[in-house]
Amino acid sequence: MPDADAPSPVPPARQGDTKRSEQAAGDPSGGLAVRGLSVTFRLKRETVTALDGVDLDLPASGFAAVIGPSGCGKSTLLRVVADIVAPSAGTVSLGGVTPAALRRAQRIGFVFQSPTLLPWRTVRENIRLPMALNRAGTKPSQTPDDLIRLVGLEGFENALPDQLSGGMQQRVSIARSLALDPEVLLLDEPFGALDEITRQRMNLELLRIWSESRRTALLVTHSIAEAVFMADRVFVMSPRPGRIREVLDIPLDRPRRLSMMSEPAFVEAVNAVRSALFGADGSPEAGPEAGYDG
Amino acid sequence: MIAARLAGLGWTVGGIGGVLAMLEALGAMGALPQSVPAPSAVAVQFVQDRAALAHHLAPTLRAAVIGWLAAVALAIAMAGVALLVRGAEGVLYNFAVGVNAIPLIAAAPILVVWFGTGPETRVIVAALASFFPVLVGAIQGLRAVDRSHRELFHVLAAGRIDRLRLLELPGALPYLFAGLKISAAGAVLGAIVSEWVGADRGLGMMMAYALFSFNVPQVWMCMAVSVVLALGAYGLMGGLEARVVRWSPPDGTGPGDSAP
Repeated sequence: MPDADAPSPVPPARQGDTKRSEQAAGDPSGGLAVRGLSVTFRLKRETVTALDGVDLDLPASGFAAVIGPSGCGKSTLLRVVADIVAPSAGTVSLGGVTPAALRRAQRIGFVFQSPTLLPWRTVRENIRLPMALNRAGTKPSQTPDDLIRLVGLEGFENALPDQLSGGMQQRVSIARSLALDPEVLLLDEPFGALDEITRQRMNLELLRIWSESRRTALLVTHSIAEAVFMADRVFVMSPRPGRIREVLDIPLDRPRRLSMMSEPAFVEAVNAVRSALFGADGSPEAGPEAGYDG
Repeated sequence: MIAARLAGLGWTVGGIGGVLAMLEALGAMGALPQSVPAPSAVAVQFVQDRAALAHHLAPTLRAAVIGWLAAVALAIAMAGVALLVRGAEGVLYNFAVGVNAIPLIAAAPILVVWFGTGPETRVIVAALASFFPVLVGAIQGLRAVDRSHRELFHVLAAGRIDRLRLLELPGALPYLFAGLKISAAGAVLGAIVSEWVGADRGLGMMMAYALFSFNVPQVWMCMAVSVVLALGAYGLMGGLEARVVRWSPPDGTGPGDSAP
């Protein structure tokens, strides 16, 4: 459980968007609350416990990262929040509603590990896809072209995904996830396949985009530095069965800058996450990449 | 890519030209067997027979087109049922494999007994010859949606119709076109087989008559015409595919492969 006295990760009130602030402003339950979440899978005869009694709290419009070794269930956690995977036990509440209700209302933004673009649709058409599927009748605050500008893809509106680099494809995917003004933004190692330099740049972009829209954001990653750099709060998970081992609030100011990575507060936070992952003695048994899958 | 295709076309045309020139030379030396005419004799035959050819070609083409369209419509409808109705795929697939296993050369005479030597038999055989590749292409294509796209549409709370319209159908097109190309050529050959067995008119009948009257250049001329027709049908589908499918699917069954 997060420390109640921890520095508040709630950022300043978001700009614009009056409709959303009406329902969520000042509401302590407006964020993400996970209680006693367990997920078990049946693989042939075996029963695999992916998540075991996970509790997690994230205030509305906060940015949290989930870090843990491969196979610890962090992606499963994200999938439960997105109503892709059903929990075996426990509850998830997003601003007071269930993931299923929020998904049916088309208010979940999900960025997959791979860009998952439709190869026959252009950049603009891919970003427009959620709007084409919009049954809730909500009027999106941004047009596809606004979103293209937001992710810096002007001039590529009519390009097909094949013609873009991996980083650009993932930008399209991020823009698409924002198309219907999601209540929550779920990011499943979105830049894991990118090279270090592109990844760093995309992280900065993502923070800028997030600071402009201020969605509640949950990022799954297996990079310690990335988790600390991006998030207000870092959830450290143990290897299978996945449990939250530690919750760390990151006392870094926003907007985050790359130069902060050499500040003592950043280094301290990185060390704290590392010792939460590896144990105080730094034994490698629980290190990232201890498992086989992601 | 265009350069590579032009080069490929150049090699193909050059190769065929070379073989024809060699045959012509051998014919001039009298070194060809009686069953093989010189290319020039086939060309002369073509010019001589052009009125008769037009007379016989029309019903063949009509039967091929109608039979093919019927087969495509039925195959796509069946693929839709296979996708939407749980458990239907296996049944329909087995049925299609059975239909495909019928030897057309044996079925055609029976169909002639039932439907006569008119256009019906031709249309049915053309449809039988083109049905299976379309069905396989359509079923595989509609099933080829990958997991992450499925999850994306789930998160976006897409309805069944939207998933079909925006995800499954567009994704199926490269597979469908692979089937359409093969079946277009198959429909032409199916119509010819049917006429060969029994018809009042048609390229296949002309071919059979030429054979039975030992008109060797005419047999070869008919053969050449049917090859051109089948290739043309294939190429037409390839051209259509290149216009419709402008993206390359991950497994490479796309536009790059559409050249005949």
